[in-house]
Amino acid sequence: MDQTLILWIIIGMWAVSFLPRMLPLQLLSGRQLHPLFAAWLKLVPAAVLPAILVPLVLLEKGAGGELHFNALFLIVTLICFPLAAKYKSLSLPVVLGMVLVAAGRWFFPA
Amino acid sequence: MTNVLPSTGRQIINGLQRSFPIILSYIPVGFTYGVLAHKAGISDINVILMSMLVFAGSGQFIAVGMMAGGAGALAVILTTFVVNLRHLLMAASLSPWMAQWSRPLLVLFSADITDETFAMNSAKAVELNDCKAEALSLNITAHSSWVLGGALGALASGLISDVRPLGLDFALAGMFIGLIVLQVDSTVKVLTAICAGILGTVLYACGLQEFYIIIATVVAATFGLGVELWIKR
Repeated sequence: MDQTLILWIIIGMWAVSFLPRMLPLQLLSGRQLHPLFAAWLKLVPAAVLPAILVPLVLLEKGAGGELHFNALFLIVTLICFPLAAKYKSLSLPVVLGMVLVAAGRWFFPA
Repeated sequence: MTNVLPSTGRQIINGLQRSFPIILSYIPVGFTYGVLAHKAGISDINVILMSMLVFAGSGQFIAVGMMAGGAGALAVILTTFVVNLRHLLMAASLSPWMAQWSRPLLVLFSADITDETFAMNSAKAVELNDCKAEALSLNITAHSSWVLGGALGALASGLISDVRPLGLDFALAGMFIGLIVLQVDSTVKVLTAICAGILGTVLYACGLQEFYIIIATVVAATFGLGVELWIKR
């Protein structure tokens, strides 16, 4: 691949990632937000994280872009989730999840 | 407040300690990104540069996948914009707590807003005005570990023929499980999360693979707010 083009893509990605992070803090910091908007913003993390996670563990993209049900990821998620909740741990589901997925593929090769 | 503020040095150490669980997940997830990016034909310098400048887990994974699939520059940049637009909402939700920050420090802080640093900083949002050094230390340590993980992945890429037998492709999902567990701590948030998960999956399956995150987020948070208002009625 053309590395110069990739560099320009990365610079573009930087611009569109940095501005949405920076502008709200510059424009809003210290201002009193409308209570309804503030209450809505408090729910954003609880919304955005599952919106990414659930499709990620339920659906797998095949070689041609077609979607398959991902049983292994779902089972591993169902094991990791209660354990992560019990120990309030960010790293436990990462490490345990990878071990279980690796083990699942070893014992049940597709 | 009557309590004495921790010294700057103490705050930096506190930030380092609080970033530890993030480091434990950023190293393997960053490593996986590095392996995949290198395999997609991106040079090691560009792999590292993307982690330094863009610093967004899912955004970088999606971009690498698109580049490997031969997508054009504009499509990759536009998708990155949409996928990372959620940081706008995160920055806005931290802003009321950061009135006493100078503009240059706000720029430094905002460059490192991710799902993970946001989760950690919003958990102690009331202290953000008093503990600037702690928040910056947490952010910069987390970012450094992300870059390190990516660099290690790019270097080790030649040794790893396929990430699947190692379970590396689950790393990102594992990190999100940990984040949800930290964030979802009330009935309204549980209902919001369920709504977002279902909606995100349906939209993704319907082919809205660039916009499903932002649409599901906005709709589910609005739904959650409706539930909250209805309960308090």
